Amino acid sequence: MPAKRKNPVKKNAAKKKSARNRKNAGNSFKSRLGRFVKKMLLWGIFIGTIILSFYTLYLNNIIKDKFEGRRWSIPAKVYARSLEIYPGLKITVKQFEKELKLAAYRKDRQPSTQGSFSRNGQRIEVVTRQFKFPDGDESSHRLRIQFNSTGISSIYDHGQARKISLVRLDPAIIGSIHPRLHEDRLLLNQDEIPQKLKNTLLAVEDRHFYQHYGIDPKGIARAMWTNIKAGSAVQGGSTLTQQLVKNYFLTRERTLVRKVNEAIMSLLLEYHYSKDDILTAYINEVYLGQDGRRAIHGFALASEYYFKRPLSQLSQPQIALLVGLVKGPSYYNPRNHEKRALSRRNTVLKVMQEQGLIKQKQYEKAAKSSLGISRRWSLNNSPFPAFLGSVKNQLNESYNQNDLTDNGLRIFTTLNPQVQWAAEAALASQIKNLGKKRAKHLQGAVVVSHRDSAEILAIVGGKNNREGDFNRAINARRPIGSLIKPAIYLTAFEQGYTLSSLLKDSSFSAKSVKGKLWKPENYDKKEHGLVPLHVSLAKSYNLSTARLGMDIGVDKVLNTVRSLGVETDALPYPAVLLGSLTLSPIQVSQMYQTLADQGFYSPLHAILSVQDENNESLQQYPVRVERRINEGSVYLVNANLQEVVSMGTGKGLSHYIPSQYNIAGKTGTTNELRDSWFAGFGNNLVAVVWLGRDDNKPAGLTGASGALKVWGKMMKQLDVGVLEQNQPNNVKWFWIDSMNQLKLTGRCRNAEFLPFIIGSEPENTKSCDSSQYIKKNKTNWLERLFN
Amino acid sequence: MIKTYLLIVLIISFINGCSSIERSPQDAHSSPAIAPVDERSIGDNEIQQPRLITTAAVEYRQPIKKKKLSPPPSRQAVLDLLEQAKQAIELYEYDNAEALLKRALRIEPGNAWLWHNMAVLKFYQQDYQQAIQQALKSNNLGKNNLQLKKNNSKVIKQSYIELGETEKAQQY
Repeated sequence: MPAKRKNPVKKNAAKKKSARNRKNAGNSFKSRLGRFVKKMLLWGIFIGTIILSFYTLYLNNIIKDKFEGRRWSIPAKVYARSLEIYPGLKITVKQFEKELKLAAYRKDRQPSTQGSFSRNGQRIEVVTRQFKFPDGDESSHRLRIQFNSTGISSIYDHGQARKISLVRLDPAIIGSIHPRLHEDRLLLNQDEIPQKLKNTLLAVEDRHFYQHYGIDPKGIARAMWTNIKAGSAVQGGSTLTQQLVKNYFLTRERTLVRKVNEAIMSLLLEYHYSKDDILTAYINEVYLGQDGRRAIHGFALASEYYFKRPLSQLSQPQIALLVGLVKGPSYYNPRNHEKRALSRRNTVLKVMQEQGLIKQKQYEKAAKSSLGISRRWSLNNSPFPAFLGSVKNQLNESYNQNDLTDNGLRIFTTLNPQVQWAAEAALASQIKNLGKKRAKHLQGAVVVSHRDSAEILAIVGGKNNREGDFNRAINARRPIGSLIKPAIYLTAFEQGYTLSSLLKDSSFSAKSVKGKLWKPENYDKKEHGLVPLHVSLAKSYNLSTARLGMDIGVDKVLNTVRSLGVETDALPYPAVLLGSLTLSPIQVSQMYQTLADQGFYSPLHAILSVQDENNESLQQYPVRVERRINEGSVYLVNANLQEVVSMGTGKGLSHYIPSQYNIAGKTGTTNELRDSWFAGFGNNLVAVVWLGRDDNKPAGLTGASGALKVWGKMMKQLDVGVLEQNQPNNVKWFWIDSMNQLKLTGRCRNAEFLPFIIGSEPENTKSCDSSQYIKKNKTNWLERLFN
Repeated sequence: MIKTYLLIVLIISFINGCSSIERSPQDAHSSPAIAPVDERSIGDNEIQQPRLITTAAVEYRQPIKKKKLSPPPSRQAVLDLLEQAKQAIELYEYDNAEALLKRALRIEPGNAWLWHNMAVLKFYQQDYQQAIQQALKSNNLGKNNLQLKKNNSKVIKQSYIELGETEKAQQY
């Protein structure tokens, strides 16, 4: 049987089948691939959608968290004391004007709006600002204040059409406590934003704000077209919402991711919040200038910063300038680049005219007007850095940094600008008087407090008084020299000594640190033999004082120093008696404050109250008083300190303050004239002045030739007050002959008129007959008063 | 000679002027006025307030007898603040009352009556130690003003009672 030939039909069919199979296989692979791709795509889209959803959700949370929580960091603001204005206030019209300027009042020809004033000779017209004080609101007043030679004679309130007895000026801001980024702003509510600002801003930055959903494709296309035509980026397509998102949530980097984020977040922001809410946020957020390290954010603060006016009072061209600044606050800074700023403002005005917001005539007039920028006013550099530093130190003890930098706290302090200026001027002038060579290395510090309330009124930390400088008033601890002596005498009175006790002023030596011999000397290197105790203090004799201190116990003296309010762990070495104790000027101030307040200790303080942003008091600093020193003893010491000034080492003060002010004070000089001190008080003020060198080399000044002069110059400008000591019932004045320990009747030669705790006066009495009557020694305390 | 005479007159006038601050209205009206807290009704649930204390805020409002010198021009400002402080006390706003008294003290530092009011306020705030201390300070400033001392003694005595120090209280 012949071999079967394969059936060609079958063969062809098989071929076809095979080809079909192959084709089918190819098709199936393709379709499988297609399906796979499709599937992958679907999965991709699915997963992408999920990821995008989560990402959007994440961005959504960011937006909601930030936008609904605390939107901005508001730095704490620190205020000076508010000026109480009342008939009888001792202030000159010039000082008052300076005070107004510090509180950012502007001088107008005709004051009509809050925060403005005018001056006409001895009369000031002022419209005060409404202000929320810790103890209540003070409304705005339109006042006419009349001055005479002693101060304010009358206050007329135009609103009430009558004379009033008391009104408070809103306090000057003397600094703020910034966060790391140094952002500062004043917040506005929706209804506080002037309509003309909204109109201008939208006309220039985003005309379709109320039509788009956060992004404006037409705007982007238009911007692209304009940019292509111009060959460079001349127009931006970002909406206000996008700008807000960029500033508020994102960095300034130009990446695609950021752009995508910006778009998503803008849509989300528009979805969640109303247009007005977004516009308000923008107006509060936008960066508009730089004041040193402080960044000026928001239109409200920018208005105060550039024009010293609230936003509601700005004219159309002024608003145009602020809106123009949005494009480049630094490039168009009107203080540094006036021409650029003017041109930018006029561009904005032109847009407004084109948009029909102003008429042609208004445009022409506005375009010709000046910028109207107020003089440079910097909050970044506080005018009173040493005081502000002390306030910050005190705050840091009670608040964490974030509270201070973010939460819009308001800190009310005791700073009295008049006193501060006087202290700064006196220190600078005295140092300058010493000549360039000596002045170069000389430094100084001043602390002034209120005698009755222990409020710190002024702190000068150094002659330059610059921010960041070493604050010597608080941080420089120097030997206090003879300023410790009142503590020694106070201790002595408590142990039964009297002002007429006789002390031996002769040299001696005592064992001191590590067995070394301590051999004190008088400043004049002389010995004065037996001296009455009051003379020893008045003349600041070292030998008699040291002997007295050794007798009563150095440890007891240190205890008295502690009772006067100074915390010290100094060891009771004899050298302490002549001022080896090192204290800062503010510690010395505390010591003399307690003396001045007749033995009542009140802690010196610089803060009155801390309020949160809702004007709720977080902390009040209540009045604290504590009787620490026996009233009789402190009366005797203070009478003796008055003698220091009337006839002792502080006599030079009479060149500045009339002797009838009966100032009590004490000079202090340390070895080789390294430190020059003066501490003293009148009825109203207590002050301590230190002069010396940072390198501790001799300054060449005694207490009387240096610090006392600063003290005198300062107090000459202030109301230091005629010192009145309230005489305790157990104290009586007697005519005395100290050297013979006799009480005198009649008027005798060299009699001393001294106060005694009743019963401690000399027992024996001597009567001076008429033949002995001689006009008394002029140098005693009461005599001087009446001659 | 004339100069010396004028100086003496000036000093005596000044001393008189200052003493009139402390002596002002209280000398003429020795009967203690009713404390503002007594004038309002106190609910059972409210914290029982001390009753004994007098306040010069009320007495201050009474007409001032003409002294040798008229009061300082700032007096009306101080009286206004005292009145506000009194109102704040009535509303139990003690912190505000203290702030108002502090303002008054800045205008007339060393005014013994203001310190007396401060002591009374501390008593209301139940800060009895400070009430005692501030009454002592008021006494110190008030020189020989008997009415003031009497009022301060009441504050001190009642404070010691509140502190449970009856022996000390008996000394007043």
